[in-house]
Amino acid sequence: MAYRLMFSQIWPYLSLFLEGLKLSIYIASVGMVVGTLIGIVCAIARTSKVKIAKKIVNVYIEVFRNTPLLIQMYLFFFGLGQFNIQVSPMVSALLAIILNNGAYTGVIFETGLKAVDVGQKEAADALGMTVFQTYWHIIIPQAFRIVIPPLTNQFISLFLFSSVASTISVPELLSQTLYVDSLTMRTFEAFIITTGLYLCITTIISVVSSSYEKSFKY
Amino acid sequence: MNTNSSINMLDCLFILKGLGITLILCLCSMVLGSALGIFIGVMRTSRIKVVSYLSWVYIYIVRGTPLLMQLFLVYYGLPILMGYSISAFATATMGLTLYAAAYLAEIVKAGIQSVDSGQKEAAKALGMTSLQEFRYIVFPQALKVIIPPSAGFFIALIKDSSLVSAIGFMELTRSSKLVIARTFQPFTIYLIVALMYFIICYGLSKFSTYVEGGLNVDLEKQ
Repeated sequence: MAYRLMFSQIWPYLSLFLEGLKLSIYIASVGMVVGTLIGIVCAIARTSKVKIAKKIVNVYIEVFRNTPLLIQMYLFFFGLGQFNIQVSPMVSALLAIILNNGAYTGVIFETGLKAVDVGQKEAADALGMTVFQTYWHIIIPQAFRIVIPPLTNQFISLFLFSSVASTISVPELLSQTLYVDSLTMRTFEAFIITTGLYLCITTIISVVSSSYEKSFKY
Repeated sequence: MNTNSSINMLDCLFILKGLGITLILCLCSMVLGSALGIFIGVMRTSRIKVVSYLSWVYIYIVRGTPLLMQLFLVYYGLPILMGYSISAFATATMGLTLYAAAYLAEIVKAGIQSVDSGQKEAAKALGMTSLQEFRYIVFPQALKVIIPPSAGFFIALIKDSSLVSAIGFMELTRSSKLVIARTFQPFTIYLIVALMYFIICYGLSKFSTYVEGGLNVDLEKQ
């Protein structure tokens, strides 16, 4: 069956797409910033010698890495309703994405921390640095350089998976696409615009990250 | 007011059936996706610019857009193009296959490129055709590099297949939704479902690390 593309019917709704995109970027950014902080704490706990902290973090990481993000979101959004706790779609989406991302970045930072030479830590100790100083000035900056590529991939996949929030009616980019599709019945036009927007952002993320990574090499 | 009704045996069987369907769906998509992925991955390493560029575009688009969007596109778009709708299982398999193919193609490409060029030159020197060279020399060696990340991708695919519930296919997540509609116990049911996904994904990832460990030992012995 022939399908003629008619973008003219879509243009009036362009602002909806952009609003959705803004929300998607917001979700992904909050998820990345807070998730990264959780990830750093997890990684330090995993590489530390405190057994209990190690065990708790292990359970957290394995649970969140081995269950679908969709189910995690459903647990916050629908699940807590069983105990009469009402959580808004946006908050449950953010909670699920932050915790999910924290588990993934935790593993990424762990590899980063382990890749930093032990001699660096010993040297910092010898200079009389406190544990906090050692991590903040010596180990984390070096680990950060190693983890930029995997962290970028994680950010891109996080941005793409923020679309899962549409299943619990968060009005992000995919929700808006489906909404415009239902209003105009111009399915392919709507999806082409969304594809373009997603590709734009993922490309920008990877280009910025690789140039940032290059600036680190000396 | 207590509207909760207890979860009975039938509910459990229903959810288990959903689990079975999820696994079948993932296996089908993985097999079809591997076939397509190998094809696209080989195209990617082709010396013919147009062929290599076409597969680059495919991989770039699929890896740069969300799976959920692709599933909706197949779900809404295919009936428009074809004029009639296909079964939910076919739609779901197709969506996941197209998704898997792009990721696997990238893995296959990396695998093929990891094979030393001396191997190819040696095959040429022995008078092998390029098909023989690929079949007997390049691919077996590439496979060792391809298998570990593919196993990881398969595990991720099982988790991602939960998104298929959004286009109305009755797999594990969707069947749990139905049971919740009857029992009004979302937390309990989703926890059970999460546990099922966890057992399968965690088990598979431990199993694949174990197998890969064995693989490495074999390689070292050689």
